[in-house]
Amino acid sequence: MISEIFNEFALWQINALVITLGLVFSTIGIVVVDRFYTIFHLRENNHVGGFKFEFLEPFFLSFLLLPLTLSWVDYNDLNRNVGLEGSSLIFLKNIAAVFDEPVAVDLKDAIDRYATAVTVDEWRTMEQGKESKKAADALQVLVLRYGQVQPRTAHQREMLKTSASVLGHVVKYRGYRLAAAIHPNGLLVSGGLVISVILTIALGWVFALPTLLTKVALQALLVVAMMCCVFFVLTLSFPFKGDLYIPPHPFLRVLN
Amino acid sequence: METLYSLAELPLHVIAIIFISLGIGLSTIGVLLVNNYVVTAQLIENNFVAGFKFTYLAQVFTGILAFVLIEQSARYSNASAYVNNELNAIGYFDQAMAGLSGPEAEDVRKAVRAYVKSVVDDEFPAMARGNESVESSRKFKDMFAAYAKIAPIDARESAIIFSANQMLMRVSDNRTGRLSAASGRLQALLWTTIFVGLFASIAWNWFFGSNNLVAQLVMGSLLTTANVMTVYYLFIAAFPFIGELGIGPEGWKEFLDLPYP
Repeated sequence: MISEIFNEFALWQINALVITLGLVFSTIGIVVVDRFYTIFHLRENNHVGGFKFEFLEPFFLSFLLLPLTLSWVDYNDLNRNVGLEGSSLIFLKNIAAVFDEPVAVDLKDAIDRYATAVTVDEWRTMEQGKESKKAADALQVLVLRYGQVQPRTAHQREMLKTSASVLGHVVKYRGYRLAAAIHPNGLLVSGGLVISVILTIALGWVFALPTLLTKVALQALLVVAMMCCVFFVLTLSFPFKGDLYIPPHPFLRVLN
Repeated sequence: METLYSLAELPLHVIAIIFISLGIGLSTIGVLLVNNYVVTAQLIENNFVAGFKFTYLAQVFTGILAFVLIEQSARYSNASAYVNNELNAIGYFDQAMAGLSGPEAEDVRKAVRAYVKSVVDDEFPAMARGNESVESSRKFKDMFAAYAKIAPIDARESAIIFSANQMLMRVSDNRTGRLSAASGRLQALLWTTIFVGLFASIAWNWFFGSNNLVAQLVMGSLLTTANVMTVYYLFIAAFPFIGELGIGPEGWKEFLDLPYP
């Protein structure tokens, strides 16, 4: 359900939604606690609550940095591997012209079919964390076609060797791409981040400050900063959804 | 994002002055405004609780800054490595083509120069804005098309072609890495998060109270300067192809100045 939100709304809207949820949770808690407890009761909490609040600092930081690091690395690796896979396919398509006419046409056709299958089908299945059977079959056909090539000249033999090496890169980068799509590391540990945010907000309710407005405003500043971090991690955890999705442009360039 | 790019193009000392001035200005104006509307005694009562929460915010903000600073520095180093590695590979590739006979090899060398010129004229300015150049992509493809027409005539030329293939693959991979490093897809999200954290850390000072307003203003300014300078270093590293410390096409221009043929 969370992932579908990225397709429905713009990035700034999701950011506003995440921040608003945090602010509403924080403000409602403060108002409710203030209704039942006077400032004199809450003032006794300030000392002990303050120390416990300090305990939550490294707790939150650990749960923030872990998914942030994983998501960031996954997103950037995915972006780079998509580009490398696309450029390897372009390389193969360009040097396929070295071979005799029907062979060159067959090879280019197989490359185009694979690029099309990835763009049209696999980009959609990667959103659900799966690979596409069509793309897997198209890659198998591509590998078979290269296996059937009979080089006629020494030059074609050299180019075939190079093509085999580049094809190996295509398979390797595809593997990395699917691994990042199928196992989104960041999302797995984001649960700890959300729990630590909830605990921090809830602990903020028990402090005493001179006025309700001051208490709400101070808490709001902290909540906005924390929810921006949560939003950052969430956005990176869905690399194929929303405004910051990784596009299949490198594969479209193969077809152009 | 265009505002950030334009800011990054300014001289380093000007960017530092802008950052520090804005930060101290925001901190000072906020403290004076709050002190104008709220009694000092009431603000002093905030100090205890606000102090604890401020420590919390400091940890969060510092953690994010440290992480992003390391990542952006790595991005800058990687971008520099990709640019240099691609140029080296192009140089070796060009020398390999010089070892071949026939007009096809000459066509490849001309295509190499056309590609390098396009990268200097079109792609470096595009990378400064987080984009790639369509014209450079076209010239890159033309280079391949010209290379595919070469047919080695003997074993020596076959060996040269084998080496040239490796160089061309390296050019392709490093070009992809260079464009990936220049890509600004995450920058808007990143800078929103950082500026929100920076604003929160500056605005927090407004809630503290002190009988000595000057002391409070000085403390707020010093703290703000420390925060702002960290964000300043981060800002410089975040745009590897812009500004005084930006990675430029000097090496690529030197390649074009080499005597040819």
